[in-house]
Amino acid sequence: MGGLVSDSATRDVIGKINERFEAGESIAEMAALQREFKIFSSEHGLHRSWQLLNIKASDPAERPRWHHWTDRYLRTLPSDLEGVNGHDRLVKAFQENLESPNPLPMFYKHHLDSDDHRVLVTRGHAALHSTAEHIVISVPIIPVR
Amino acid sequence: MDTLRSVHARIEAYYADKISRHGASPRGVDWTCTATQQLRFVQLLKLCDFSQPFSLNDVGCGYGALVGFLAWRHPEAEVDYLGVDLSPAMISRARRRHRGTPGRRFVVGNDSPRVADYAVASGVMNVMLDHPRDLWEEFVADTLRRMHASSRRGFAVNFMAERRDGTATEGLYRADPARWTSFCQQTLGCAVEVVGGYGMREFTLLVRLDHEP
Repeated sequence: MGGLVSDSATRDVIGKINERFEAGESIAEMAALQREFKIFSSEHGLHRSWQLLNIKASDPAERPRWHHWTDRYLRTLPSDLEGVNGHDRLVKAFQENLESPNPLPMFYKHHLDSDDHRVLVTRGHAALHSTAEHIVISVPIIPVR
Repeated sequence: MDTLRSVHARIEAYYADKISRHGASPRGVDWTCTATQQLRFVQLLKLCDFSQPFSLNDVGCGYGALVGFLAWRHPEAEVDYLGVDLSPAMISRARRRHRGTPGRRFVVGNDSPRVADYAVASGVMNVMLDHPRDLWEEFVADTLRRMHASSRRGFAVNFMAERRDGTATEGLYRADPARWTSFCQQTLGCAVEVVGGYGMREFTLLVRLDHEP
């Protein structure tokens, strides 16, 4: 996640997110959790949602950085919805999909900030073997040397 | 009984290791996360009548996560809670975590020392380790009998359901709801409600003793 979180922690956390939101039983479980507990909500930050789902960096040293990235840095990013910051866009995407009558699997990835500096939420096929349509969330990053 | 004692000893050792590695957290009792742990509590507590005070035995209570859930989800409820677990390490964590909370007690054992209105057990039947399936089902039946004997109004327990393709998962026990529904109805003489469809490949049995025959 650029210079904010190490590459290994980034891979680690992205893997956990994509595993919990993949097609089939995982996304059904997430939808049930959302129905019961409102895991994703404008009432609390995204980091709280990740805590409830135990989505965190395995390396304890990386966790404060992950927290900062999630609840602070993402709020500084624009998104594909005018006037909605990156953090709130992610919350809205997760909440709307999980509360929809037929939630789609979700795929989280990054793109280069130089290509598009906004958080993007689209529908399409994830870069996986699955042919299922996904909600694809992509967050811009600025690589550091 | 000696055979079941050895099963209990293996379970105790397994969870002592879990809690020492992961601490008092859902991972420490083999659940993915707080949210899934709590979704199971929601199903189990459908058994209880929260409109009046009741006593509750929590069998295989671990570090006492249900205590925190009751305080959060049912803050007005008057619940006389007793947590029971085979693992002294779990009970030690539970006592430390809930020290000073009135109406919350914890004991080490495989059996509740008291009769309560209700008993619940979350995840107790799932981790079979490398026990033969027949022996594990003897353990399940024994646990259900004990919960029945120590409950006035009913008990609730969850199981992992079988996969669609019927394949097993090493070390885990998956069951057909009919197997244990039938046991509770025919052997224990209870009314059984099967709760499923809550987003997980599992089911919860709500077993009522105080039904009209």
